[in-house]
Amino acid sequence: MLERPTCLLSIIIFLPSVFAILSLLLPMQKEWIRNLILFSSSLCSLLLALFLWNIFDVKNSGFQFSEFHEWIPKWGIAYAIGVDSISLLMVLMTAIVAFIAFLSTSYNCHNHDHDHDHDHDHNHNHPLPAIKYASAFYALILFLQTALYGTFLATDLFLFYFFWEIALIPMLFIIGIWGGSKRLKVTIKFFIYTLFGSLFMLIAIIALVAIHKENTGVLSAQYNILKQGQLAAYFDGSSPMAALSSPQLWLFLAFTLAFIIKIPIVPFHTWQPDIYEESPLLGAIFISALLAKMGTYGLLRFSIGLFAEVSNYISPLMCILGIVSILYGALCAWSQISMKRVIAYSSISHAGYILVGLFTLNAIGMTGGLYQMFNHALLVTGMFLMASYLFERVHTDNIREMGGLAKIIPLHSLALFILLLSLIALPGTNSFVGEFSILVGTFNMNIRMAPLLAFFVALGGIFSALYAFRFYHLIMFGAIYKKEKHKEHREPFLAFDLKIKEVLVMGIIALFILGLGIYPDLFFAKTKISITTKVMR
Amino acid sequence: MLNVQMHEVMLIQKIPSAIWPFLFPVIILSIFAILNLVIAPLLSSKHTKKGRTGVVFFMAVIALLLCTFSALFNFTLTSETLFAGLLVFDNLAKYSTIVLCLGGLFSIINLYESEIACDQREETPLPAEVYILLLFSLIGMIILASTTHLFMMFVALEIMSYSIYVMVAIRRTSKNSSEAGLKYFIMGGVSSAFFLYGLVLVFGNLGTLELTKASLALTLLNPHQILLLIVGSIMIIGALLFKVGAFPFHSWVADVYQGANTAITGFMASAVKFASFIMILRLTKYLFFASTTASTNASTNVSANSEAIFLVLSISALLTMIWGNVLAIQQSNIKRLLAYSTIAHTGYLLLAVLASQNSVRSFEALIFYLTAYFFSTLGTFAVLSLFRDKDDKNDKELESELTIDSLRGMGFKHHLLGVAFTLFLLSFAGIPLTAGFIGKFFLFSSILPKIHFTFVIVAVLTSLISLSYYLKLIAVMYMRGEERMYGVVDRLEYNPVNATTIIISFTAIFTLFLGIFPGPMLTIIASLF
Repeated sequence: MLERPTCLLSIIIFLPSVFAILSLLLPMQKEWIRNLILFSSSLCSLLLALFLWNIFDVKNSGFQFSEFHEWIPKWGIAYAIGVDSISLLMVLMTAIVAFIAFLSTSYNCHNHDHDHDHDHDHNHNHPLPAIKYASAFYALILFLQTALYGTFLATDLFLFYFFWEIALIPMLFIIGIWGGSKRLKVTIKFFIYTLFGSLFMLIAIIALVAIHKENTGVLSAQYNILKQGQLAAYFDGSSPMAALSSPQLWLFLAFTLAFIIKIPIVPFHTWQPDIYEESPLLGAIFISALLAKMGTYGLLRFSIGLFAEVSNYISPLMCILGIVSILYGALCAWSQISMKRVIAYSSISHAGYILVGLFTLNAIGMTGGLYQMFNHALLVTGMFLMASYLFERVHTDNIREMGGLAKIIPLHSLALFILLLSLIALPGTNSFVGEFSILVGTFNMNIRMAPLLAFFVALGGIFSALYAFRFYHLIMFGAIYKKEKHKEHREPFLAFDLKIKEVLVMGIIALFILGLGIYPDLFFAKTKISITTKVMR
Repeated sequence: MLNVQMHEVMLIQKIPSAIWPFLFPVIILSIFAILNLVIAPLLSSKHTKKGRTGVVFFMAVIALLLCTFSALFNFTLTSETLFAGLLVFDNLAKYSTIVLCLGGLFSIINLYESEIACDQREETPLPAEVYILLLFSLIGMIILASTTHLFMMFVALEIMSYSIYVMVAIRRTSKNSSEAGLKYFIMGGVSSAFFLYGLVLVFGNLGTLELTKASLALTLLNPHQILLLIVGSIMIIGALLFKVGAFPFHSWVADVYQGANTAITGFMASAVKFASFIMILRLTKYLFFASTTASTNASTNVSANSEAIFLVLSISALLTMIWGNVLAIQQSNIKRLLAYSTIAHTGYLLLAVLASQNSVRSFEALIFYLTAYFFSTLGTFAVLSLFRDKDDKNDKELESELTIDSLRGMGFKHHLLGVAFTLFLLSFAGIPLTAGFIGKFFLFSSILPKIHFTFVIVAVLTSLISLSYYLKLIAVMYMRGEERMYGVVDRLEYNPVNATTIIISFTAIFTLFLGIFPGPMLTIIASLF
């Protein structure tokens, strides 16, 4: 075993910020400097994450590499970070997604300089600022990465909330400045919507700390300490009325609301398709692959981790919510004609799987949920990159206006095919491992209607096949020129196939998809122990 | 009884030498203010108007600097009470003096610079008296923050208010300014009358105007008289609600903030509110919610009084939060928008006052929130004071007509100014990394167990509403894209290293620092009570 470095996690968290400040100071108009900074930042980040993964002690189920500094001692708030197997996976996910995204993005940016006639469609970066204020753009993205790492690694509830909220600020500007034509309305809606949930979480954190202080006399916002608090006494599940009047339920709901809005799960999803459609590519990748996972991570860590009794009580309800998401998301995706909206609704559907998995509350289902977080992050990164590659070639986001592309750009169609295989969770892909675990977990749930729930979860699989194949069919097969109005755009249809860099990016993703599908333990072995102990509690 | 009281007051104690340093800030300000009053007319014959303003300004700045240093020095001394409570130099008073002096200093510099800019545009700058008035109002504020005597409070309140009335109305040629001044003056006069009458009722019942003694007298009061006392207390509360611009008495705020010079608006929104809240805090602590602080067993008197006050304050607080935030949404004039946003902040601060019925900790939250708000407000109005919008009718640039749209593209045109302004707005909205977030967190955490849950829910929901208009401002600065880029910001040519910029950067850094490392400030504030 290697020697354990003391402030490894802090370095991981703040490294992107250092690069962000660097990028603000350096003249980023020169493209090679920009690429160099982005690439070196993401590479360092990835190497550090891999290093962490390598020296992580599997047998230890508690927090490792913990750091503790007093921050606001008067309120029992500390800068406390640590990594356990759940956050390890999240950190790795962030590093990998950021690496892939940055690897692909320099190409995109370059392409915008001589981007031609798509003024009728503003789905991409806003032409002027994206080039002129590139340094600010990338600095914001890097700050966002810091906030993400912080959220995943914080073991102090206040610190968690701090990073959780900070992540919103870069997002606000990324979408608000560089987003599409509807960006203003959409951004403000997104910001207020997510903050709506978060503020109740803040109140719940305050209440939780106050309750703990009352019981034990210890003023602390630390996760480990709060977990040992006598919260069980604050829940009475004997009758629905008793449950409704118990504080633990309301605390749970306040936390869960924040997370569910962020993921998002169905009744609270209305901000999401718009945001995915309007945000610039990098923003879309970060928000769908990583910010959404902040929510699922929060569910696992805080909602389930802190409020065991309520979670038990409410798990069927949450599973039903998840199933509604799965089916609703899939059906909506089926009827969309915009690529980004298909991806958005498919994300809602997948988030439903994750929710069901987490709230099966047994080891196999929760592990499946955790896998799916990682898998979906990769998948949605790939999907968004694919959508942008296609957009660059056919200059439309409307899948009805495409068609027959398989003949022109076969490599694309192969890459998209692999992604879609993962999306419908075919055996041999990584998602199969996750979704199958979730299915088994649902069956094994300790309630009478478990088989029924499992049936609906399985039904979701069929639904996803429906929209995935419609998506693929409309884009890749059929007649080549579909719409009259695109006559003037014929020329771009003579599109070039994947470029080297794109092949590289898609290759990495495909490697993950197939590799983890065939031998999942290679990657996921380290995550098992923590989940098991969580359920055993 | 009155005789005893007056005797007590009139008795000139021999002032011990240890007390003198505490009097320095007020003495320095008074001397310089009066000196300025004398000098200003003398200069006018020989010098140009500009030179005269410069001299007065220069002396005012020296006075404020001296005052700030002496206040900083005083902070290390032990607390004293003078003239049987007419002047109290406890930690709270010392702290308030420092903050108010800084606020006065920033405002006066900001005011002078925006007036110089005025001069370059061939507008008539404000007369030199405005700087003298600012000094006088500051004297009132400092005394207001350092007294526990109701009569002294009234005098200080009047010193402060009268200077402010004139400062608002001082641009005589502007219709907005005159209207604002008149409105403010008439309504303020009524509120002073309320205060005075309430004071009389309180004195008639309790036999003392000294708050520390009042809390004792309260427990001895004949229960039949309690109604009059309650009426008196409510009248005092009413006058104070007017001063801070809370719900039933908020209607002047928007007009006055719009009509006044932007730098003066900043001074009003920060310093007047700060001083008034310190007064409310003291009144609450000793008179209104006396049961918590007086260690006597809570008699029926005390609880009846505090319940009545609680009811009045809670209605006012709830409606202030809702009203301020809802009305702010539809404003298109920036100064009106910010005026309504300050009303909303008053609502949050009143929540802390309410919660103080059960816990002193909420006073700490109040002071923290107030301090955070104080500097963010100063910064915000300092930024705004750099801009003038064009009035189409007579082609004159009017600062009172500054619309939201005139900030278009500001974030791109002036990077650092945009960042600072965004920071202030985020601080108002209570987003992390800023002092406003810590303030809100502290506020919520101190009121949550103490008062009914509904208040917190309303506070949370209204602060969500507030986000919509703060975001609107941010959106205008950054997100309108290049179509019709730049409002009046395009015409702004400001020297990046002038004093206003230094003020803006100081307040911005302070806001950021307090948002990330609130520890030291919390320790200081904890020592105030």
